[in-house]
Amino acid sequence: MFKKDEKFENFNEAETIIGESVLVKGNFESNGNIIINGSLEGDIKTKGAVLVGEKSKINANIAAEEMIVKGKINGNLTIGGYLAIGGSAIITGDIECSQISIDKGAEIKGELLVNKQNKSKKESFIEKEEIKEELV
Amino acid sequence: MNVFIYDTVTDKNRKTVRKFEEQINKLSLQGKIIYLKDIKNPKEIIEKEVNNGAKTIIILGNDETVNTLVNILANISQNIPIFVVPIGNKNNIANALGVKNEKEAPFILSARRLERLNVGKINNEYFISNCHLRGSDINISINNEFSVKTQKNSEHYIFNLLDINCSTQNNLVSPQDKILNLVINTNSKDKTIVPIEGFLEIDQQEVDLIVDNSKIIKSPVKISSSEKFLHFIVGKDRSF
Repeated sequence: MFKKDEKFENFNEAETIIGESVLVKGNFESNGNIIINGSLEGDIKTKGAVLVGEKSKINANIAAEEMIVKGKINGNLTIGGYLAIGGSAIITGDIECSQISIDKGAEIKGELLVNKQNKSKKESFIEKEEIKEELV
Repeated sequence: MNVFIYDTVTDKNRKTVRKFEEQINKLSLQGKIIYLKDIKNPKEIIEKEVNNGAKTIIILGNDETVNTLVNILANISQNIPIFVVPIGNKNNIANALGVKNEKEAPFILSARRLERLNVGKINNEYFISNCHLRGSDINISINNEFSVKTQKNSEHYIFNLLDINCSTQNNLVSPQDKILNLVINTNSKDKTIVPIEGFLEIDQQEVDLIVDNSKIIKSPVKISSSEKFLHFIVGKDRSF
C-alpha cells in the first residue's frame, strides 16, 4: 500500500501488470496491486492498489483500496482509502473515496464523494493509535 | 540406490559425462545406469526401479529429456526425488533448478536439498517450466472470466518455473504456489504479468506452443497448474 504520490512512482510490488499493447476484457479480481498501462474493458476489483498509467484507456468500474490515475477512465471508481488524480487524468464517472488529491489539469465528469467514513479498518486503526499518542 | 537415466544427448557429450562420473565415484554416489535409447517402455522400467527401492532418479540430458521424464514420473504413484544434470544444449530447466553445469552437479546432488514443485498441465500432458508462444492478436481466455489480447507481435510465456533467462521484474514466480504466471514481452519497456489461479485457454487454431523449451503442442490448448507435484534436488542458485 502507499500513502504518498512518490510511492506510486516506484510501484514495484505490483502483482499484476497490464502492458501498453495489451487489451484485457472481462471481470478481473485480484488481492494485490495492479498497474495498468494498456486497455481494459470490464470491471476490476482488488484488495490492493491500482495505478493507471498515462497511456491507458479504461472502460471499467474499478474498486480498490487505493489508486492513482494518470490516464483515461470511463467508469465509476470506488476507493476505500486514498485516491490521487494526476494532471493528465481524464475521468468520466462517479468517484467515491475517503481521501483525495487532484493535480492541475485533470478532467473529471461525474459526482465526487469524499467520505472519511469510507476509510479502511486499517487506516481507522492507525488514526485511533495516533489520537491515543496525542492524548498521552 | 541411485538410478541414473542417460538420454541420447550423453552420446555426443562423452567427455562431459565422464567428468561427472569421476566426481560421482569420488563422492560414492554411484548407482544403476539406464540408457533411454535402449528401452522401449521407460515408464515400466522406471516404475520397476522405484518399486525396487531407488532412492533418487538422476536425469542426464537436456530440457527435452526432463519434459519426457516429468511426464513419466508424474504418472508414477510413488514420489521419488529427481535430480537433473545438464548435458548438451538447452538446459534452462536444470539452470532454473540451480544446477548450472555437470561440474557442480555432483556436489548439489550430495547436498540433497529437496524442494517440492507443482507440475503444470497442458491438455493431457505435464510440463515443469513453461509454455512459450509468439505472435500478435493472440487471445488468451482466463478462468472464463476475462481475456488478454495483444495488439503487437509479442513473446508470450506461461511460467510454472521461471526460466533463468527471463525477467519478471520484481515479481516472484514460484513453482510451489499452484499459480501460473502469464508474461507477455512486447519490448523491454512493455511487459505484462498476470498471475493465474485456475486455467487459461487458447482456442485459436494454428498457434504453436513450445513446451519446456522442447516439445511443440498446437492450439487449442487448456493450461493449468495441476494437483501433481514432484520433489527435485536443487542448488542454491535456483530461480525461486
